[in-house]
Amino acid sequence: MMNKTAGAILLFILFQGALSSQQKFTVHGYITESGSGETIIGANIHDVNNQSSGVSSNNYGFWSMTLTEGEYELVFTYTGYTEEHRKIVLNKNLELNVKLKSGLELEEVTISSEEIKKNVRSTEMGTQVMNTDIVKRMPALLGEVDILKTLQLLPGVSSATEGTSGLYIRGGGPDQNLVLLDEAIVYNTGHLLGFFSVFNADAIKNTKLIKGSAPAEYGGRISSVIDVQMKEGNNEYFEAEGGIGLISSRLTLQGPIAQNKSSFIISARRTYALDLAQPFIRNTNFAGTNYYFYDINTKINYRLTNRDRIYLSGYFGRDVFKFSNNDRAFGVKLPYGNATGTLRWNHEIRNDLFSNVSLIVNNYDFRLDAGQEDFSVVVKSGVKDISCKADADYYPSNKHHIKFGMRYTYHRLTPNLVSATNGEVDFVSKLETKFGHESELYFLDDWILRPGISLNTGLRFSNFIQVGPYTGRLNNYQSGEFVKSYLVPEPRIYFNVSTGPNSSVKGGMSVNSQYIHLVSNSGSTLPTDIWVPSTERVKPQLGFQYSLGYFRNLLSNEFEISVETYYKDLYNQLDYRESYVEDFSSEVEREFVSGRGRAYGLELFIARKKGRLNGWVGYTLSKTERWFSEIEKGRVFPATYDRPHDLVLVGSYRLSPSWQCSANFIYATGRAYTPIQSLFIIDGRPNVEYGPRNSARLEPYHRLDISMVYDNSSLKRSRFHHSWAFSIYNVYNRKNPFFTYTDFSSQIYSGNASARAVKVSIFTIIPSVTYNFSWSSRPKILNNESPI
Amino acid sequence: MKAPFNTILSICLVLFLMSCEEDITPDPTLYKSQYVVEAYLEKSENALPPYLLLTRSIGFYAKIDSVVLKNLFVHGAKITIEANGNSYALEEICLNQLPEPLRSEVLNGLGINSDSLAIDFCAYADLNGSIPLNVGQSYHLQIVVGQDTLRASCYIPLSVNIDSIWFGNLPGKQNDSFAQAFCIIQDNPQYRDFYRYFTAGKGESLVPNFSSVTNDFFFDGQRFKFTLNKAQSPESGFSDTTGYFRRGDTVTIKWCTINDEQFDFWNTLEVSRTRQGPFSSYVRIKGNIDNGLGIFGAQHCQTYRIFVPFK
Repeated sequence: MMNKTAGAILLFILFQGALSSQQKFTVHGYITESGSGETIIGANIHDVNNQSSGVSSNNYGFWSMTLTEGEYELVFTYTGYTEEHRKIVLNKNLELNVKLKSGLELEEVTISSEEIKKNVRSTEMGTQVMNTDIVKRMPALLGEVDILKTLQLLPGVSSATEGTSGLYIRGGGPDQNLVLLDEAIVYNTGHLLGFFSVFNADAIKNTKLIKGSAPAEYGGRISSVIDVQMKEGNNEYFEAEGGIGLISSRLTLQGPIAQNKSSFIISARRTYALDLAQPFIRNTNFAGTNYYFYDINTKINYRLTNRDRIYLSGYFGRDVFKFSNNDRAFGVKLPYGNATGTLRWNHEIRNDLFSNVSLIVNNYDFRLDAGQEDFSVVVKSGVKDISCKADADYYPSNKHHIKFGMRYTYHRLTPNLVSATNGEVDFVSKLETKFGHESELYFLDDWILRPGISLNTGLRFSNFIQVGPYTGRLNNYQSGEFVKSYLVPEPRIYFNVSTGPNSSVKGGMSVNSQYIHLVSNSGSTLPTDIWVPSTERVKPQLGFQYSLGYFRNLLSNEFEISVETYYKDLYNQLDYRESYVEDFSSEVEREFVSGRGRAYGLELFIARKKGRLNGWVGYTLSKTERWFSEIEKGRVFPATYDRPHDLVLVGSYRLSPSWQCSANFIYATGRAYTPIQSLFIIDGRPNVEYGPRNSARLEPYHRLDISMVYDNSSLKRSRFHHSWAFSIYNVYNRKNPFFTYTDFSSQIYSGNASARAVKVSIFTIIPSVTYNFSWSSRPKILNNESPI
Repeated sequence: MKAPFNTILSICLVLFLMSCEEDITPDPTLYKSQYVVEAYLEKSENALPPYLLLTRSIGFYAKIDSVVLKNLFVHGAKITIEANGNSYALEEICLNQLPEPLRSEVLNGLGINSDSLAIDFCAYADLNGSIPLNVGQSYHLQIVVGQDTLRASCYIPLSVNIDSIWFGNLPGKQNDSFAQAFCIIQDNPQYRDFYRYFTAGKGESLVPNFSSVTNDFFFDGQRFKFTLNKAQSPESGFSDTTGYFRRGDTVTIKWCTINDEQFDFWNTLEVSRTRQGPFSSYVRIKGNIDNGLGIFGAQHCQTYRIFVPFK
């Protein structure tokens, strides 16, 4: 069936090409950034006389337009870059590579109205592209620039607990976000218990967030997509940049290997707070105790021919915690982290047909080693994937952008495997590593039906096959033996109906499936949480999302306004059974219960993208609920991350060519928690009986952060530039409760006992400063006016 | 440059670590009174007879004084335990009805310090010892209080004795005053076994450790050597000698196999007591009482009194 479908698609493409070849010609090429050669993703290209139809550059900077013979003036636009015009005479197929100048190189940036109108014209909904330069200007906790925390400032996105980088998007859990780094899935997105994301901003080109209405090319998660693209490396000259902060320091090197042919980038970051304390720790009983994290991003690319490019990129990050108590001869070592690698081959099959083939490996592993004299224990868990995927972009006319492709992934998921010894006997847990084959096939057409009406229709088939070894309900399966298969068709359809030159109504629905799950038994996700696949016992999660929105630009496109509503139905949601306690002795999937969920809300977004003062206001009114027949007899309860009201104000103001200030203010309904219902005495001590799950709320959360950035880049043409970023987190020292705990005196029968409940605030006012520098082999003036 | 940087770093670290605490009052309208049962059948030498404490849960009072405490106990309940087709009634008895030597013995068995007891303490017990305690036997509890009926069941598990106990030096830094206890058991290969233990130092009551239960998942059916920590409550804090026995003391170790429901109860209760902190979620204590809270548990115990030798 699949072979027939693929064959039909291929025939359609070839036939369409043959029919059109006599009347139409194709102009195609790459869009890159002037000065660095970085490809630009999502740049707009349109004919100046036909603004309603155009194309965008794809994830690799490639674009293609098929037009009838004639003369055209093409306009190339991208936010933060100058508009470029090219006049062409199209009487044959044409290659046209365009370089756009970024705001960093210009004295003044003008933003194309057409670029701004993209939000009104495209079929994309709930989608935001976050430029890393913007992220770097925002106030940052402890000065650590964090892409994921910046995404939390968008409507519909929140964090579970303050300061953490985990994302909860439109009522979805953190495992329901598809987080991609150069197409490789990142299973653990946080360092230091999630307080800092694994993405080093210096190595990141841009980040695309799709809050739910994901086109058919994305799959595997039911909530959202966070597609992070690494820089490719400057292919024109050498650059070095870095920074010294309170928590970590960073260094990035990039440059050409062969001019305009090949380039590289390598970026590293490491924390050192406890390294600085080592001289003091060394003389104590705890000598050897340390904590740090580091990560390395690297990428090289090579242009084989005009039609072929190869990219090799990788990420390696680790958190390492070591604890020693020498008096007790006790030691713990806890390293964990991600490693990803992506090998990509871009090939232009034809001028209007672009393909990408990728081989991807990723590995998330967690390990704990602990020991005391003869006793030692090792705990290991993780996920290892090997994937190959092939995607194609086909531009048969300037009204169709067709995408199709497939992906295959081999999953190996290791539960918490424990091995221990007491010096005489070795003990090994009997838990099983799980294996699965996941395959996906998709086809979509982004189609301009007629001027003012666009349709993005897609269909995705996903299949998951669990193979042994596995101890099932009835059978024991051997290694490689078929256990269970799931097949889910995932239709997606989105529309855009223009309601005026600067406004449109968009809507759509999507079906998503998810075969790999992470269920956390804590208030936030932790590195100890384990991923589990769909199995005979665990069904795939399913999500149905419906959305509708009104998009409008005002005052000569100076303001962008959108109102979006969504409703999500979630099936086969997972949670731990009531009274679950972590236990290395049981298969975690047997501790799950399966239930339902729903999320609905309204998101209001107003952004100003022009001028010295720019920013946005986002407000979300939402509800997120779950229910499980085996938890409180099916009572519907709010999810931990349910935030009925969430207001964010973000502003940035350019005081002078070298000074820029930014601020953000956040207000959100307090977090839901499970309250104490009563105390009862057992064993002479008070114990807590909890009330209904998540039936109480902490007090509302709010805070104001500000930052000032001094940058000498625009003052003189130089090889060396530096900047200072001053930031204050929680300016008015709001004591937002981070968690609560109870405290009892134990001698209850003395008649003199007491109980207290306490809330704890961790993130009080926190100032920080970061020094950044950059050096390039070519002197340049930088301008930091690029707007949000 | 270095000095200002260090100053800024110090200020920021202090601010970061300067977390703030404030007392909060849980919503009193959530309070719902429930019956609480704590009942045990213990098969062992010197065990207390089967007994049951019946109380009510209370709201989150800031102060739990003797009046509040006294009102917790439920009097006049009709309590029976049915075993092998026979029903045995438990009689209510209060501490002040007992002669002094027996009173102290009962309090010691319950792990309560008689000197600090501020209230009269009432329980229901099989005073005549008429309930037969047999391994593998199922027992069914019924409590009738006014219109309310509570029920629970349990069984007495097989015993697994400690084969040997000895004391060794502390790991790491030398300490001549304390010793570490080592034990060996031969786990039963045919059953899933659950264990709970208590210890007492010289002149102390037997108390369970703050983490007092385990199962045999990792050593099922094996001869298993392990260290046994001296029990302490979670409130007593940690020191360099926490978990170790003082040399020269004669210490008591009570080692029990328990039924699975009792394991679940103590496992969830002990985790619930320690589950505090920014990343923790609540744990609902899993009892086995229909229509109430608490535990009706059975245990099969051995008690060892051992001298901890001087070094």
